[in-house]
Amino acid sequence: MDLRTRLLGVCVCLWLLSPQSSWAAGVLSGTPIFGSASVNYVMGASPVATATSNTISFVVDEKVNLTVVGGNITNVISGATLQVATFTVTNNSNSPLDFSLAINSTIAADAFDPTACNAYVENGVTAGFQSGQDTATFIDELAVDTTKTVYAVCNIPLGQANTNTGQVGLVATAQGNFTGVTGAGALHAYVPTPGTLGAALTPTSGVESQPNVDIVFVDIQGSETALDTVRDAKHSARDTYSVGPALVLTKSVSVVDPKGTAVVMPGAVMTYTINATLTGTSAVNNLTIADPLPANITYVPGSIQVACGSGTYANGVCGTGVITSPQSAAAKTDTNMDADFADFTANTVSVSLGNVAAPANVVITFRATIN
Amino acid sequence: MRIARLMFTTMLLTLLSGYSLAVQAADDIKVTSIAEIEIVTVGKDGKKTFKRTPPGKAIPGTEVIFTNIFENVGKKAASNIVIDNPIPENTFFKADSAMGKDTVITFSADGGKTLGLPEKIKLKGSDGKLRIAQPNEYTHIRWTYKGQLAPGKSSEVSFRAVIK
Repeated sequence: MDLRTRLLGVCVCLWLLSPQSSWAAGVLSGTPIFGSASVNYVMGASPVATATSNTISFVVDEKVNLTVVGGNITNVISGATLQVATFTVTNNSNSPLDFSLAINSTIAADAFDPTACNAYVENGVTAGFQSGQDTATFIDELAVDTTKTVYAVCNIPLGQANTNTGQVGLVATAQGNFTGVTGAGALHAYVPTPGTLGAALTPTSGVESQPNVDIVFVDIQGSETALDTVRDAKHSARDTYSVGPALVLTKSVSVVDPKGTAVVMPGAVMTYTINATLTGTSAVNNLTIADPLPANITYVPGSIQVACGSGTYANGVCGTGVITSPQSAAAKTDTNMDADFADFTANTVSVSLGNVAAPANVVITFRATIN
Repeated sequence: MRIARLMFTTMLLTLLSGYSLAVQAADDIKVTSIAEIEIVTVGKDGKKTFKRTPPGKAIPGTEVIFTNIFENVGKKAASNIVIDNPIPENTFFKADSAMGKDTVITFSADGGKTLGLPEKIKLKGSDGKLRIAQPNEYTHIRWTYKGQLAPGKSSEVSFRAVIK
């Protein structure tokens, strides 16, 4: 089978995690905990008396913790610009915090380093990275137990062979302003700074006197071990850019002979099925699938069918993918469904699907008889 | 000036001690509650050393030890001693952590209305049926001291709760 595919554009998929159930991160910092006991007793022949203890009081301290999740693969082509890798950042601290973002693109264990990387925060208006909308470069006021989508947007260097991969790491750092820094009266309550990145945090050395809030880092180390260690208010993860076509074609043949069995013999009808699946995050433009027939078989006129692998193919939409199916200027020798985007010429079946946006699954079938 | 200040201080002290006397006068049992956290260090020989400190760094997940020390400061022996301790708000009781020498320990999961041994404490589930309450759902602990506490003697009871 001769395949001609051209990948001209890549689009982005979206990875939005819904917020987890509330307060997994625990009681908000600064919350007082009170404890006391009471005792009933009898002294000699006296009636029951009651004594009450002192009241214990201490405040819940600030637990700084965050989770960066990556592990996503973005299919790209060599030399593509503004390619998007998707991460999530979750605030597991017991107060709202800001999160600064840094990218590590110089990872040694891969074939290439993505270039000119920037990190942007999904603003929630339109799913997926929108260069005009998702412009924030840090996460502002991320509430407890909530998650934001963050994009690393990089260029892919030229000259990369198919299957080459390049990794990109995202390091998020919890930051925020707290009242006072040290000393008596410094309650260390979190102070929101909407629109402004809060200050870098310092864990409290020793123990603050009550009712001050200590700042305690409890985060683990992520993937970027040179930039992120345990208990440093940072966490990190990696995504991968994978060079190569995102289009996968499979072809199968079924045979029905004149006796109704599946013996390959003269007069048997072979049904060819070509399954074209465009996965993940990519789009392909001007996609033409062509299949030259081998010798000794004869194409059955009018037998080309184009359908969706799932869903109904109508108005250019196959499943959730969009197929523009432009009509060729040349006259078709074969027609199907509606427009003549299918062709049989020079003993080759070809179907022009035009621009196809993922995820799409198109199934092309045609028949031929064995001479 | 200095005399005036001294007089003021003396008056204040008198007032304060008078206040505490008024509150404490009737109590022949003095009960003191303390909260501590346990710091575990593992030595080179693998032996664990437990050291208790005040709850300095208390973040969610921290286990806090609450201890009630009760002392008979009266002149006669005290009997029928019952110590009640609500599980502090924003914490949950750690299973099997309630201790108390010569006491019977019962629990409540309904705000102290009914008390019982762990296997007898029931709560209404989401399906409306009664089920056995989990330790982290307990709301109160009660220690019933067996026997008498002689004058000048003290004892203690404790439990552990985890900050939610």
